[in-house]
Parts: sequence; structure tokens; C-alpha cells
Amino acid sequence: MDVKKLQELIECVSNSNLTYFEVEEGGTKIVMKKECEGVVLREVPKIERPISVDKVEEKSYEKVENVKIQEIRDEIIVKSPMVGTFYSAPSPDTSPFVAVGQRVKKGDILCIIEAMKIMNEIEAEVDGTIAAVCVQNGEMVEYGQALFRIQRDGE
Amino acid sequence: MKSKILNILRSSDTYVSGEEISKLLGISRAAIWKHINQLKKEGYQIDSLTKNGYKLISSPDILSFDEISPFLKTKFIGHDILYYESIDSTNTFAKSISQNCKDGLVIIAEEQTKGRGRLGRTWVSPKRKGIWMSIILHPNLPPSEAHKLTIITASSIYNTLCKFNVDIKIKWPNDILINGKKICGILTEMNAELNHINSLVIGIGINVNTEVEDFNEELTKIATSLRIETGKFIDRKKLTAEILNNFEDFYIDYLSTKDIRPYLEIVRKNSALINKYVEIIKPNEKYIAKVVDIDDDGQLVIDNDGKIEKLLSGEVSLHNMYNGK
Repeated sequence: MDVKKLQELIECVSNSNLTYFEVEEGGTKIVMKKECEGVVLREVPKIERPISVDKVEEKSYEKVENVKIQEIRDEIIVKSPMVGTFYSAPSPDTSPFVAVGQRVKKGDILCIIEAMKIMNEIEAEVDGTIAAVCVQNGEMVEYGQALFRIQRDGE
Repeated sequence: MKSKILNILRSSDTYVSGEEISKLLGISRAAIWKHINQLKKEGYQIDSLTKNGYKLISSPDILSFDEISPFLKTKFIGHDILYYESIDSTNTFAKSISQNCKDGLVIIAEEQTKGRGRLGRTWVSPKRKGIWMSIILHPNLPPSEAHKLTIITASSIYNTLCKFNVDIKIKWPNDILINGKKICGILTEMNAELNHINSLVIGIGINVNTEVEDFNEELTKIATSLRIETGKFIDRKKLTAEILNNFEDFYIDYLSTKDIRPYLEIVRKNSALINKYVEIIKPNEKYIAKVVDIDDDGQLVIDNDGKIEKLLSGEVSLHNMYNGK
């Protein structure tokens, strides 16, 4: 679809009462949404590059949350290998293995998952910084549940 | 070489001459003499007569490979034993080497200076009084199945201890009691990825010849030993080997059948908890419930005020007040 045609289309949709418009042609899909009419109208003359329009559309198909996680490419999620109780510290009266902002090295112990007295020490798979602790001490976790997010060190 | 000399002495009821040993092993008589002295240092009583040679009078009460192996019938577990006079904790050490060692390696110590229970609790392990050991395994199992190995361990130890004719019960999931007091604890620690167990360390602590005075006042109320309960001095070497034999039997069988039920049946039949009131202590809550059963997955089934719940995790202690004690 050429630029001129696209501009025409945008103008056409903008001037109509439509709040949603979708068209597919030659493998290119265009979706237009009007959140608030006023804003959209003012933006019309700015939208001149079809490439950028395409990009916006692609992203609009994903949940905001997913986009965020994918954008932070160097963050890895540590998941639980089994159902059990999450222990953040080696014993009840010691401080947690790790906290948010703490640097960890590959192989460092992050937490213990316990099921039927099997203590499973979860280790960091990468060097990095703890970005988030997703579970509270003593909570039950499921198989595959996210336990930590680690910001991997840059290359 | 020391082991070979020991084996020669063991296999003979009479004196074996230095010359004979020298021929058999291809070492000098001076070298033999050096090894004999080393064995004496370790506690072996060896009689030596210039004319007749050497004779083994008695072996020390130690759990080295040389002492345990004559009783071992295993296919791979305990074929390598790392033996220590004293160690901080067999589990801690086992964990540190578990990724890069042979499947079935066993760590045994005569004494643990920092014997551990669950969640950093201490485990009293005085010198030559008990069996303090860790078995390192590399099972081809997903981590979600690992808890079944606690059942395998507990049921195999139960079967081994049965010969002592005392009242043995298994306290779900990892303790063994005699007359209501703890005699054995199992601490299993695992290193796993999402779908694969890298290594598993099964720590076993058994109070064998521990005497009342070895426990402090607090512990005498909750812990006991085979010696205290039977009034007899127990052969630790034989017992260690028997535990490894029975454990491996169950373990190999379970890995091939993946059927935990026969072992669960042992745990159920001899449960210290079924039909008893227990206090359940979770990190964030505490309550009293009645134990109804252990399900086919090994989980404790409890009746919490009319509501049936399953327990995979958490501390369970017998509640004396409710059980009429």
C-alpha cells in the first residue's frame, strides 16, 4: 500500500464516525483505532510514514505486560522446578539468600523449594542483579512459577 | 595396598608370613611392615610374631570402606566411599562435590561438627556413636518425582531396623521413631533444573550406639538410640551395609517400575501419624488437625475441622495433649 493511499485512508477513517477500522491487503494489515476523537484528528497530518504505522499496529496486538518483558531482553526469569514451599532464607532466623538490587553470580543460591522434606536449592543461572523477588517466604509455589527476575549483566 | 594386606589377613585364621604377603602383592617386607603399622594406628589389632608373621586379632569399630565392604551386596551404591574421622556435615560436603562425582558415592564420617537437620537445625552426631552418611545419586527423574525418594529411603531404613524387634514407626515423611522418640532423620537435598535432577544428596543420620549422656536434657525427651532402646551394643558396619543394600534394592526397583505404592504401603502401615492429632506448622500459620491417610503421591491427608486437605510440605509434630498423653 503506498503512502498516498494510506494517507487517504487515514483521512477517510478520521472523518468518519468509525472508532475501529481494519483492512488487510497484500499481506499488510492495518488497524486504526480512535481512543478519543479530538486527539486522533489533530494527529492526522503527522502520520505520514507508513512504516511507523505498521510498527505501532504490530505491538497493539500484544498485552502491554508482555511487551514490557520482551523489551527488557536481558532479564531472565527463574522458575520453580517443583511444587513446594518457598524459603527465602536457609533457616528461619537468618537473612534471605538474596534481595532486590543484589548482585548474584551464576551458581549462587537464591532460595530453597521444599516438598516432603526435599530441600531444593535454586541457583542463579547467570551473573546479574536481582530485579524482583516474585514470591513471599513460606508461600506455596507451583511447577514453573516465576520466583525471581534477574537482570543479566551486559556483554 | 593397605586394603589388600587387610584382606589377606582377614581371609586367614592363622598367621600369615611377611614373605607370603610379599609374594602375593609384590612389595618388600619393609613396605608391608609400614602398612601394618598404619593399620595398627587406625585401630586394627594385629599380632606380629617374627617367626610366624602377622595375624588380625580385631578390627576397630569404624565405618571405612574396608570395614563396610565385606557386608555390601550393592550393584553401585557405596562402591566408592569417602570416609572421614571428622567433618562439618556429610551433606554439606556431599553437595559441594555432587555434580562431579560418581553415581552412588557415599560420604561417611565418624563425627559431624556441624551436623544439620532441616532449615539449619543442628543434628547431634558424636564420634563413633552413630551412622552419619550421605548418598549421592544422579537419578534420571524430573524434580517433581524427587520427593518419592524420601519414601524409598524411609521405608528401606524401616525394613533394615525391623530386625531389632523394637516398636519402629515412620513419621511422615522423613523421620524414624522408636517408642515415639527420634532415632533416624533423613535430609534430602537436591540440585535441579526445571526438568532434570542434576544431583541428589540423601543424608541419613542414625543414633546407633549413642548413650543417654550424649544427648542434652532437651534431646533425651525427643531422641533415642538403638543402644538405649535395645540395651545392646550394635555393629555399625553391618548396619551401614544393610541400609545401603536395602536402599539400593528399593531404589533400583523404583527407577525401573516407577511404582511407589509398595514403599508407600510400608510407610502407611507403620506410620507414626495416621489417626493421630498433629500440629501443622507452616512458615506463616499453625493449626491442629487429624491425620487420615497418606495418599498415593505420598502427601499427608489431614482432616482439618471436617475439611480434608493434602499436605506436601510443612512441619508436622505429634500433639500429645490431643493424643491423650
